[in-house]
Amino acid sequence: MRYVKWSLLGLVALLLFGFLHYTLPQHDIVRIVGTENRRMEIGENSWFFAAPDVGTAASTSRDIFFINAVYPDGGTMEYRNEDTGWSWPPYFKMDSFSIATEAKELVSTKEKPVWVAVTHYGWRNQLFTIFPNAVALRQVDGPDATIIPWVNIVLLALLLLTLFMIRRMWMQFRERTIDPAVIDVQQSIDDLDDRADRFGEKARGFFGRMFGRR
Amino acid sequence: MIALLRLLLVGFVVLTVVYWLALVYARSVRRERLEKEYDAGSVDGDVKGHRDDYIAQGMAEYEHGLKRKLLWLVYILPFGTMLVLVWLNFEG
Repeated sequence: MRYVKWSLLGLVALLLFGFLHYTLPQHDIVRIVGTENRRMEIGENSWFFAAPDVGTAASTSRDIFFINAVYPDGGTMEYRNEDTGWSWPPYFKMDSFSIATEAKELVSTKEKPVWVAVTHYGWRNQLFTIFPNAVALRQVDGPDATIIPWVNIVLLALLLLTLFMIRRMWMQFRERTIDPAVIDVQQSIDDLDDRADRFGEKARGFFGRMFGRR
Repeated sequence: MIALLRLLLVGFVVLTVVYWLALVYARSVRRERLEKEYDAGSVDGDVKGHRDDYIAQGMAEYEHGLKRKLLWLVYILPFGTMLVLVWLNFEG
């Protein structure tokens, strides 16, 4: 039983971590080597693609902007550049066309690199053909530029605060509503018990008088 | 626009649940404090009468106080954050 409990808790923790890791913004410092626009038939991996551009019709096939980038160590990365619009995750990104333009402007060569901090959410996975969604581009001085993840700090602090408040609310509810109700119920059970005892005594007295042996 | 309507509707429902929970909690905490104040005997002479009257008056004061109004931030903050984010996106 203990193994089941810990496995379930571990699974919940893993899912929560995965959800946060996917949804919260992260920063990569990369060199943008190109942009492209490619038609995708979105199938089983549709969970990992956002909505069609705001105002355009829904369809399983659409053109998606991509940004091809190279890490300082030479590793490659591809970002999609999609509107999230009014749906999940709540980045309210509607400027995928502007970001495509910015990306084109920031393209640089190996000899004269321009380093760009790409704010993105999501994962790159080659097995399922899924891409992180670039949310913002910002030019930085070099590949070692420090970026303080303010949004993550604030959001995780808010999450902890929410959990703390839920606990406080639950304790208050238990103290003020459940415990008194339990005491009430115990009280009435006791009363009932007393009455039953008294009735039993009376009945025994009656039957005793009628049929009992003296 | 359907997506925006859906967001507003779902957001309104979720925030209403949060608002309601926060309101019940805040009232409960307030009532508990009033009870403890009365029981500790630290109540001034201006409220005579019973414990229930003292608590009822304290709760009435709470309902018209600033702290009660601050609970509307439950609606205002998320909606405001959304407006700011949309605006920043249009600017950037």
